[in-house]
Amino acid sequence: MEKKQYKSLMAIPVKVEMAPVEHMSDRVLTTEELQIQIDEATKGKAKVDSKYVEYSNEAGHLYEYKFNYTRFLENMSYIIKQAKSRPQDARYKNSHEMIIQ
Amino acid sequence: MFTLEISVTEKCNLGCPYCYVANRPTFMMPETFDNAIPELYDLMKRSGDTEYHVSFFGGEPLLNWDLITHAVPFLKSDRKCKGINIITNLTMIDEDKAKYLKENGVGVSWSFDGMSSNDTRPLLPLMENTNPETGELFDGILAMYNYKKDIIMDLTNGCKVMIWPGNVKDMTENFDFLLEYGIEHPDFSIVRDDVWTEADIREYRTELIRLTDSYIAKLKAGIPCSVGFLRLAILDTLYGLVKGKRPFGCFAGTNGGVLMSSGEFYPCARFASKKIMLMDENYNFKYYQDQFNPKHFDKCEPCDLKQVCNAGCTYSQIMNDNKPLDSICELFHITYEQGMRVVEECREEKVFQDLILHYIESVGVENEGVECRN
Repeated sequence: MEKKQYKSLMAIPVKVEMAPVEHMSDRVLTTEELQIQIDEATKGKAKVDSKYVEYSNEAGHLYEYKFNYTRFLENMSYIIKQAKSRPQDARYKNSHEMIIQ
Repeated sequence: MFTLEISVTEKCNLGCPYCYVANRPTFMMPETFDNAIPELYDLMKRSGDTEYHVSFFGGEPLLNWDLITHAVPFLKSDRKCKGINIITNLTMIDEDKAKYLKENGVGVSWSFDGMSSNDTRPLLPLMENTNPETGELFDGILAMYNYKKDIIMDLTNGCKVMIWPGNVKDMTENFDFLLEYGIEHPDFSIVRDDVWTEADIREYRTELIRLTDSYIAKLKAGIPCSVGFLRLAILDTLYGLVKGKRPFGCFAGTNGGVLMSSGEFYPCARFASKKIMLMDENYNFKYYQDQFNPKHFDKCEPCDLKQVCNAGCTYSQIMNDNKPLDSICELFHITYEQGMRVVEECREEKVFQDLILHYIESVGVENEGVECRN
């Protein structure tokens, strides 16, 4: 059977006429600074806006969501401390870089 | 940092049903790129940026390889350019192209939907989709990726998986497939704020809980891995609570734009697909930076995610009377809730502790949230 010859997209002529055409981000926190801020945030003071910690949901939603931010911050503080307590070469090594959407 | 996407072509050899790009046969010419640089500098000045990062984008950018090889030497020589990336489906990668990308420090961001690709990315009968050894069309995109696996995995160890109503049911199986393929940290992302019905959202919640159960089980078994949108929910919550969230949802129109093959700039390719919000001399960055600052939405005032959520896609907000969509609000609530469940249930797992520290150390605050393929 004869082989079918496929065209490349590049060979398809351009049919569309195109008209001729004559941060603000803050500095990075270190993990140590982050740790301090987490501790402060857990207490509901310092740089965190405490009114949103444990803030209850008043919007109408499909589900009743539960966000216990205080508990979340306690967890994260604990997780970071545990990981930092291990020597660097005993930690999981990863070459994956963050690309966040 | 100004985020510049260069849409070198709107054409793509795949036909993903969720993609908003027009898939038209337009290809950027080298002189169009050259002529656009002064305008880029002017846009940067007006947005308040002095440096930029480039992502080659499409369509499928490898279809206009000539433009890429024309642009890269200039970008590498331009002191204002701080990074080059290509967002590609990698179906047309070969050893020569891979070598060029590696040698020139071009980062690769792989668009790959995993096992659902055979359904969501049907192969068009094109030369680009044929096996070079047999001249026959590959039997589905997975066969194509398996054929090129060594080249691809040498270029990148991550991929971007678009989650939309059509592949929600397979999220868990897709994650398993990707781990098996060798991708430990697939970047699952919700695509298109504006295509989700209430039934879709309910199904998303059911399936995300199933995926999260599976993910937690893997962490408890000591398997190092992560799921993009859960990882992001955890980090956004952490930084949002301790530092306040970033003042922009994405780069579009606030600190970035896309250069289309016509030579025109738009906030992003989604705006360009509708030819709205042309970034000409009348374009007002300050308006966008104020108006679409996720901290400023009245609609978000009573929300329990106000401190941490970034309110979705700017294009969708503009189409929705400058407000975040209800659908994205619900989807984010579901996702953040599961992200926090992972933290609660895995706080004692060493591999999870190490991953969290790794991500905090590698992402910092400054690199948050600039890439979008919504």
